[in-house]
Amino acid sequence: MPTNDERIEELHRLRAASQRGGGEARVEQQHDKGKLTARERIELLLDPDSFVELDAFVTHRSVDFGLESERYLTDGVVTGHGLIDGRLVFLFSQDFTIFGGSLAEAHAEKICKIMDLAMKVGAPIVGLNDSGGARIQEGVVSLGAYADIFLRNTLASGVVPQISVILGPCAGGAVYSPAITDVTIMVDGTSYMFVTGPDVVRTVTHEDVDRERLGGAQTHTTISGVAHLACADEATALERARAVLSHLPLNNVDDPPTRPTNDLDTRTDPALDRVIPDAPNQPYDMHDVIGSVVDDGEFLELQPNWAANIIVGWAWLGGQSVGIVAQQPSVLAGALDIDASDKAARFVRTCDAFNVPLVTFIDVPGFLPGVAQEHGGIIRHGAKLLYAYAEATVPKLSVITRKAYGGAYDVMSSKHIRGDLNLAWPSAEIAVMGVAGAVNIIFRDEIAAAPDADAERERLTSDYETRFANPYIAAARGYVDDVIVPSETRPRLIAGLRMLATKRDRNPSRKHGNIPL
Amino acid sequence: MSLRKDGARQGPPFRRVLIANRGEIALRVIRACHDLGIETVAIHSDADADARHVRAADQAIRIGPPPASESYLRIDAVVEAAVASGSDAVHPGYGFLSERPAFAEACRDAGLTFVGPEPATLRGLGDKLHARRAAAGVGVPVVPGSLEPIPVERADGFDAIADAASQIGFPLLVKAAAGGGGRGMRVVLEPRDLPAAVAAAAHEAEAAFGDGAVYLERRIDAARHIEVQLLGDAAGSVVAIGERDCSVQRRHQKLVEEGPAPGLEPAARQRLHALATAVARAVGLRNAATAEFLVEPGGEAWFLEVNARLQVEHGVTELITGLDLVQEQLWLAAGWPLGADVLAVAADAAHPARHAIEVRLSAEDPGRGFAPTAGRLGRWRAPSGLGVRMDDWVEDGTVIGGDYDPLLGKLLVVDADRPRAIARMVRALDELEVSGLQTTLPFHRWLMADPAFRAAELAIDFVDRRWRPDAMRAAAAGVAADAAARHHAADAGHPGQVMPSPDGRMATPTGSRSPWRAAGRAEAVDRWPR
Amino acid sequence: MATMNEPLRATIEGAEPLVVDVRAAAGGHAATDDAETGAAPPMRRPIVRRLAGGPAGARYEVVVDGWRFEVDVEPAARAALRDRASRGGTTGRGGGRHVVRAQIPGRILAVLVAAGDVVDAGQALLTVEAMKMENAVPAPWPGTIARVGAVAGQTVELGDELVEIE
Repeated sequence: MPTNDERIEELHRLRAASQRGGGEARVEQQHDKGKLTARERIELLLDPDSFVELDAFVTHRSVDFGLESERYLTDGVVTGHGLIDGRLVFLFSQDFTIFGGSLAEAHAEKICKIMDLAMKVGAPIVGLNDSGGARIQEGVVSLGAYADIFLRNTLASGVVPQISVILGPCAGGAVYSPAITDVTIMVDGTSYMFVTGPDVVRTVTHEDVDRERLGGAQTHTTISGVAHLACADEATALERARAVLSHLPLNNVDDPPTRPTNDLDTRTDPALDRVIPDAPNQPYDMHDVIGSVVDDGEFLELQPNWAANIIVGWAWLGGQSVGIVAQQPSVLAGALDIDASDKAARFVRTCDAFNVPLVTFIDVPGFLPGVAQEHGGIIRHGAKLLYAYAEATVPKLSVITRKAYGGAYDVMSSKHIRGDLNLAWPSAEIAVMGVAGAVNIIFRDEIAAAPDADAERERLTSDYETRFANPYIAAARGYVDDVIVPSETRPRLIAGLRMLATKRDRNPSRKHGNIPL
Repeated sequence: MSLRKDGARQGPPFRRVLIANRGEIALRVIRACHDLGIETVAIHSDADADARHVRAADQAIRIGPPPASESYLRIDAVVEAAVASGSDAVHPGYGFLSERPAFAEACRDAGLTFVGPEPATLRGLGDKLHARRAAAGVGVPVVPGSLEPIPVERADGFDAIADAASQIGFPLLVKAAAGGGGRGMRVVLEPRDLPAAVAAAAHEAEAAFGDGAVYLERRIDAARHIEVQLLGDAAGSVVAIGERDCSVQRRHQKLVEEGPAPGLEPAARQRLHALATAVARAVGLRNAATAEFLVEPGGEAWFLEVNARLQVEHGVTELITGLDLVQEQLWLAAGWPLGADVLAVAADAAHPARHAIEVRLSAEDPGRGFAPTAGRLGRWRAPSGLGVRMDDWVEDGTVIGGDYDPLLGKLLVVDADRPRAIARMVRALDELEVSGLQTTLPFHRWLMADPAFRAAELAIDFVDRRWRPDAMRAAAAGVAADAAARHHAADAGHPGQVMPSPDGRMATPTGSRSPWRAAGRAEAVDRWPR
Repeated sequence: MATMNEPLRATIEGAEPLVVDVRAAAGGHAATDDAETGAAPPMRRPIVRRLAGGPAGARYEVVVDGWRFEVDVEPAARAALRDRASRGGTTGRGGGRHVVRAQIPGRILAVLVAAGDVVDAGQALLTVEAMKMENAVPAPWPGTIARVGAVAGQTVELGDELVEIE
């Protein structure tokens, strides 16, 4: 019989062994690739000394293909819980130094365990992904294990925030776990995601493409929209994950966090009074408006380089976490196209699921015309954004800065789809279409009959502009609640947020809505 | 401290006074009124709805949104508030409307007593050249320069300007006749810069004051800025009750004031007071005012201007003399003659028995060129104790924005002589605790220890010459980093367990107020088969 | 473990980070040199208050003799790890070229880059007038301009090649 001291010593020995991962050589390889180990990543992600590990003693049970002689404590994934800004999170961090971080039965059971725990406690789940894929030696068991995780990702969706940080390979079926989570963060040069790799692509479609171009961070944040943020390095990626979580509540019945600020609620910005160019065809950068309005000018933008005609991201406003959706007039004139609709719809639903109020800045000339858009299903995709805004029950505030034309006006958080506070700047034009188009249709006969058609068109246009290109027609009907001086946008929005702090609204009881996917 | 020796004064001078100001000066005036048994009416913008001056007054009236141009500077709204509240007098404090003849007129027209000079006097003093001519007319030396606006508009005017300039000598200043606070002012080092400087100053003056008239004045660098406190009554009697040295300033903004002016012999002091009263009589002064002089190391005094209002730094003279200058203003405005105690102080003004110092604590960063800072004060603990006076208006959590001037409070000390007053100021500054935003406190701490200041080597370029904050700030940064680390080490909790939240309360990681558990229980109960 | 014993790194914006061994006696208070800093009076006990935010979630407001600072504190080892992870990341995106195409038919108003220019992601490459608006076409990747395939005044169709970035 070993003595008690010996037993405790045994525990220390095993624990130390579990810390070593796949051994020094593999750790060194990992470092050489510019990557951190699973545990180093946890240390950077969490508040200092807050990590509590579970299941360090788990090993696989496989006896095929020689695996029985190769067992590592943790089975290639470190799981547990810790704190971010003093708030609880659950996390898993795949260890590429053990079996290449490959996923198998025991590995997946550990992930499922902390996901189940997170769902009971009501706390976010962060996945640090760095895995070569399924552990092929375990065969179909690995496939089942993936599905166990997908199911939990799905059931947790909209209940607790889920963040995926991709820090290495994430290929094949594995990509569908991050795909279901709320925010996916990647690292330039060292992380990639694809369903089939370059080799298969080459064989099947004869396209020659490297890993990075096929599914690297830049690809997924500029072309596919699969990921939300591309970071220069792992430290930045982990810091961004913290920042994202700082804007979200722990779960869907909790309030989102607040953050004290020295930025004054009453701060006005005279520069906003001049931000709209006098010429209607001149663009401006909506980031200037957002930066001026939110606390300390801080804006955590998601997908800045994909569908840049719409801007989405989180900010603080009067100390309150808010989701910002805004047209970008300097890209595609701020028109709504397929990608912009998808991007904004997803973000609106993310905020609504987690009780984060929405602030929308509108300058939209309409939906983007064109065969490619129509054939690509702009109807179906635009409907997602309409659906998302209409369905959302969080406080919905909006500011029309300039154009709000046509159906796009309805879509963008309008009063008619339960907008709570709809403000407009004096430069706002809320209309079925732009002035020139409207004049050509309404006065087609008059223009044709006039001796000088151009002069007549100009006269009618100018007349129409003075009468209709303003916010007061809409304000007269209560479609906008108030017309405000641009410099006062911040105090007015903060007052609105405070007023709406206890808002409650509900959707009809149903199994789930049927958003046009 | 003031023993009222004048038995002739009876009853409060007014029944109800409206204070057309905010911040510390509004509080200061309210206190004087209450000491005299006068009811007070405060005005406030939306930003000040819960400010201390509002709470201290007997009633308060909202006059507009936060920007001063839409509230404290609105003559119509202020006069309307005074009439509506049944006030019989209006005290303008300093700044805002205190020197606007139109405001004094509007008060008079509404049947209200304006606590200050006649509108005509204000109008005359608003033009600095008028005061310069008046002073020169009674033989008071003015800073060498022009007495009439220089001919900026005339085509042949430049030769005349150049002539005048060469007579004055370089370097010189181009100043706005209607100016103040350094606006519309340009320094010209050599003749070839003159045309551009004149044009720029005239343009700036036109924009700031609606009056582009400018004049030339010799620049006197090594001089001290000394001002004489004056009181005058309706009968035309004017007395000087002491002077203050305000040389510690930056860009014409005073930072520290003290009195009596160090190193001034009684004879020189008497002469300066005589010059000041001569100017005051010449411009027909009534009520409280200050005559400002530049005094060169050799003792030559040059008249600068008259400020016909209560000065920010009036408390220095109060601590020395024991008079309450705001109370005196009220008596004088009500038509009473100068009191016996004022005359007694004036008679002895060349031999002050005490020394007082004031430092201005402002929301400015002395490490970054005194740039304004904004935000929410964390902690504000004012010093106190014998010989210490704090005229402040802020408290824990007060929000400081860009709408008004950055003055948080004035810390004043008094003691038997200058070294003792400095020692007392050092002690008082050590007691002051302020957090949440950067203030001018480190500058004042340095100044009180500075050998040149202690030796009273004062001049208006003192701060530019001597204030070098970088090394001091860096040393403090090292201490701050160390303190934060140690605080953190002592504060660390157990891994994964209870942590202090940022607001200092203890909370479980999921938040003790989380509705998650409550919602889950309600759901579980709800679903139990019934 | 009521107190932390490992070395901590304290960082103030604009200053060199300071590593503090909390087991050693506090030394900072006497660290001022009169000749260097002017005649600074002896330092008072600092005011320390916890703030929200910071990379490690530990940010403090510290006021030392009236000077106010915001200080981020984290274990020195973790800070070093962060430094390593910050340098280790490569910003490369693999080889190959990327073609920026017209997303909308319109007229080129201005070409803002030339071959050989280095651009950041999001930087405007050219402006296109379409939808009656001037639209900036941003660089989707950081890189070097390999070729500019458009000139000002030209009309472009959807999908036309505008700029190639490597």
